[in-house]
Amino acid sequence: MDYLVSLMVFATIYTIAALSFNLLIGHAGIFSVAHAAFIEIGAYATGILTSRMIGLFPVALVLGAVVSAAVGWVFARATLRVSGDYMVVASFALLVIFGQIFTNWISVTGGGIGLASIPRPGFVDGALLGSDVLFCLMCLFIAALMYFVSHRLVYSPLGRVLRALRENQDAAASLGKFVRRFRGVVFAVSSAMAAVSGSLYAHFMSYISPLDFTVQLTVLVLTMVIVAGTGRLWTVPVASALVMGITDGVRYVDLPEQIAPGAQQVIYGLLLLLFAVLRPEGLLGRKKDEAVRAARHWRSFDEPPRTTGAVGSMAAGSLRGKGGETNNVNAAPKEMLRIDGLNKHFGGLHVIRDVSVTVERGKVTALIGPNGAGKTTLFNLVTGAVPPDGGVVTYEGRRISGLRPDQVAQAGIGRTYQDLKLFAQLTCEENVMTAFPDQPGESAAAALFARGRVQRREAEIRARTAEILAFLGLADKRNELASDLGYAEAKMLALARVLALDPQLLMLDEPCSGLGRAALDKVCSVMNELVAQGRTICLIEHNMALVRQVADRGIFLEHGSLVASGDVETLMANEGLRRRYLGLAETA
Amino acid sequence: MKPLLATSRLTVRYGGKVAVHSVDLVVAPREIVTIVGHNGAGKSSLLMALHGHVPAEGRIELDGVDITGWAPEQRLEAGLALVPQGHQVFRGLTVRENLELAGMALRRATSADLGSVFAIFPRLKERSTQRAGTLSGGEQQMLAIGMGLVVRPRILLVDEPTIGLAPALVKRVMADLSDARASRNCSVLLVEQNLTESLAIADRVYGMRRGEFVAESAASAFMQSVDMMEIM
Amino acid sequence: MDQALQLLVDGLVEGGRIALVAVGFSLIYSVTRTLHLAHGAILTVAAYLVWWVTAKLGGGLAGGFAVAAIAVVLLGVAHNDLLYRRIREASPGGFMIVVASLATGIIIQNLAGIVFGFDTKDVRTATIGQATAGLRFGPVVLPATNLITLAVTLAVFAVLGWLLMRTRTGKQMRAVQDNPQLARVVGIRTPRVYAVTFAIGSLVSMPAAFFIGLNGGLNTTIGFDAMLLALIVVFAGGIGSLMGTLLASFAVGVLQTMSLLVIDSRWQDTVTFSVLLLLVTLRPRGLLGKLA
Repeated sequence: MDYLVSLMVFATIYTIAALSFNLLIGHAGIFSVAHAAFIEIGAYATGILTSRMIGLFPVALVLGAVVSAAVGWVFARATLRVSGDYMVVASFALLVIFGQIFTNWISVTGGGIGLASIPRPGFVDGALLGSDVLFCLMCLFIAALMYFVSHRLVYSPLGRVLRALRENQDAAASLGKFVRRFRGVVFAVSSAMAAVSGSLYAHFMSYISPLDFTVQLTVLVLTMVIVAGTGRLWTVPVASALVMGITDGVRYVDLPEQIAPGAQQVIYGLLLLLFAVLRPEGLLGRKKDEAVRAARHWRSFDEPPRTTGAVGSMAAGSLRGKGGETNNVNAAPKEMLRIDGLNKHFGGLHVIRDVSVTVERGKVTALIGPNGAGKTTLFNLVTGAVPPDGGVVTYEGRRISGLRPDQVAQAGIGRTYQDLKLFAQLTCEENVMTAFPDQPGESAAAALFARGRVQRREAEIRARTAEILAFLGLADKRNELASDLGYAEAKMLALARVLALDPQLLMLDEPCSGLGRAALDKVCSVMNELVAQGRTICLIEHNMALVRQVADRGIFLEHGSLVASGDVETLMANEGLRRRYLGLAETA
Repeated sequence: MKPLLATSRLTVRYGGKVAVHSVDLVVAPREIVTIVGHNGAGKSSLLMALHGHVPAEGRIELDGVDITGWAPEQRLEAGLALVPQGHQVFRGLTVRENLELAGMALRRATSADLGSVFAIFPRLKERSTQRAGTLSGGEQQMLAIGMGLVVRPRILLVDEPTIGLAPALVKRVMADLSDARASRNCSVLLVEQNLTESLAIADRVYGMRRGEFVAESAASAFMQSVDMMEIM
Repeated sequence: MDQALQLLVDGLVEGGRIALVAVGFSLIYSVTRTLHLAHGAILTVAAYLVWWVTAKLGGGLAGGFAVAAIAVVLLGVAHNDLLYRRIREASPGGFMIVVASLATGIIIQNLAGIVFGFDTKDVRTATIGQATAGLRFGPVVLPATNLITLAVTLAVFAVLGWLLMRTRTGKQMRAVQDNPQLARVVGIRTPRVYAVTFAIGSLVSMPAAFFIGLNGGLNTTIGFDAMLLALIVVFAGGIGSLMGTLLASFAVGVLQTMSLLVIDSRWQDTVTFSVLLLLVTLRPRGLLGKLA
């Protein structure tokens, strides 16, 4: 019986550790190997508090989680520009550093000898959870709580943003998401939960040492996550118990003395290898319904959403402009976006040379020029994706050069990409929903505690999303994964996504290239409608006939320099320009 | 005359998406053929499939030989060379090393081959010990084309060589390609956005849209016979 | 002052050990873009083989190194051809290669323990006996083993440099590192280059495991521990730069030993890793890195 109880306790501890690790590497897609360090911080922090200074366990637990969260948050900020392989390396370093600190700060941690005499939790002064069974019940309760928290966060707007960031960080930033904050939050939450598991371990064993928290621990928890399947939830406790059972079970097999010390590690090493090679998606296999399951949790999957306006109509007001109804073009200054002396070098190449140009409010401006002229680079400079080497970009009288992409998006500029950068593993609906600003559900606290408010806003966003999707002819693709869309539909989705931002200035990078007649007409009419609502459009296009059809003004870029700008018809009629740059000999 | 390069129902898929759909193209010996089309039409995918870098369905024949499943190095050996988009060179290596590496495909890369490239591009000879990354864009494009020519190919596939080049250099590149056909008996299959310049040197043109060939004509007749809106 | 000089020289020797592990890893990473985390475990096996052949089979040091060399090449190439290639095709761009290499590393080093025993082996006595020959430069003592370590390090780097700059294979490796897609286009057989890279990368690091064992005893984790340090040294020194790896290794070695002047020895690793972590986060490109 005792053995069973202690198994249960360990199962819950590992479950919490695996849940928190999965949050980081599965849902958020940030592969860090430092997890054992955060478990260690929790174990030592609470162990020291309760053993040296008799403190109440719950308080110590929270404090340990807070300290761990703080470390995780700082680490996340420090490694912002670092990703992929660098992250692995940096997190190894963090693991070593903390291992060394806990080993060598002997006065506080007891060093290599370890920390002993950690008391069982006392809630009221004197009453200790001496009984294993009671302790086990407490662990189950806490594990259930952690599962609940994970569940809430994963199936919330925060979870959606994290998945979007995992899919395409640049696109998410261009839609107004402040990447650094979300990285910090997910790292903090993951680290806090890891600390909780460490605390439980410390108080169950009554003794901990740095040897309990080596890279082997990270790998063991990693095995549980891989077996469960990254990005899943309910399989995590199952996989944790399974892996733990297998590796622990080895102890009870009569192995020759020569094999015994290494047996456990070989076992879970093999398990990890097997899954990594043969079944990387985990026990249950491919998770193409991850997004669909997420949508289901908002009870939204099967019922069509309530909409406020007529579906499919492009009624004015269904996409309200910022600042209310008064998009009075005559009152506002003509100049919306102003670029002054913009310069950019890449390596040794001068790719944008002293470009100064303006974009007029309420008009459609086409940015044209041959491939390699710097058009997309110019977009990147304006939207903050790339910092300029010189020059100023002003939007609505406010200087935006030097701002982050998410800040530029929040200022009112929305952009699309030539290669779309859709969130592939999210549904069409989620792609658009992610882009909406002012989502209280993107804060962890609100996702956990302010459910009502979050759900209200979600319902609002869902309704608006349905309108936007219908507006672009994607209503029936609502629950399709973005990666499953055809070429034209994908382009439409990219447009739908940026519309969710409700931007006053739309910068579209080749929205029409490769579209058939029907789709072309649709995009044109969408653009006309947007202009009718008072918005401004700047688009990069190669199709000259199309440009003449939709654009009022044109900006010619070649070799990084501004060649000409002005009224489109005038530009088109200039024979010299046409012959030199357009490659067209005749008027179409 | 037997075609030098011919494809039959060539199809390229990436996952579930069809990038090139059932394309039949033909290039004769000593012919310059241009493919035009919008961004994302599948032009680059087509060249990559012809050179063996992406799996393709259908059939590709080089001088009557079925090369459909061949690896790139085998196609190089058979005389099919590719100059990919973006004036790509080995930036950390010298000009000479770049050309040597390209020539390594031939079991016997001779200094005569390098010499012939230097003859076309004397500027490269001047800079032969310079790291390729320090060359200007135009010089890198010359080097990239040189790397294609050093193996003495029978047909050269060239992907948008004029991107980002000044007009004078564009003319230079076109002239070099035209010269390759003339002096080296090399056919050229060219993907180009710059219509005027490419039509000036091409014999025939294909128009490509959304993975399919939608137009084909002699270069001189192209502008009249094709609705550009459909292509771009 | 005398102590400082001694520490400096010892630091360079330590740097040499680090450099040997780092350069193999660095070569593999910069050419194939694979985070080959099994590198350490493979080196551990090499060290055990040297010890075993020398001490248990009486095959002599040379025989031991020969066997170890063959083993690391086989293991390294096997990892690439049998494991990594498969994962690259199945799930490119993900972290499964890291997961798999961690897994094989753990399996391999524990198998080594099972086969050779988990106790710490005294390599020094078993292989070179009580030899205490050495050189003396004024106040600085340089034992023979340290001298050899430095000599081997410099020799390895010289040979590697020659290989990369002057031989056909080396140029192809540099080309693949520079632009893998273009390499394929000009007909370089990339799979073959990868295999060769893994072979050479494993081979050049092989002596390091022995030197490390000589220095501090041989157990199942010495390779992994050495690799952890090499990992961050490579990234801090700059990917793709042989000189960067060498300089960074020497700098770290010296940092390790010289820090003893001001801190207690048990804080060495903390200081070293903290400095390197800072470097990597502040300057991701590394000291002399060519790739952003």
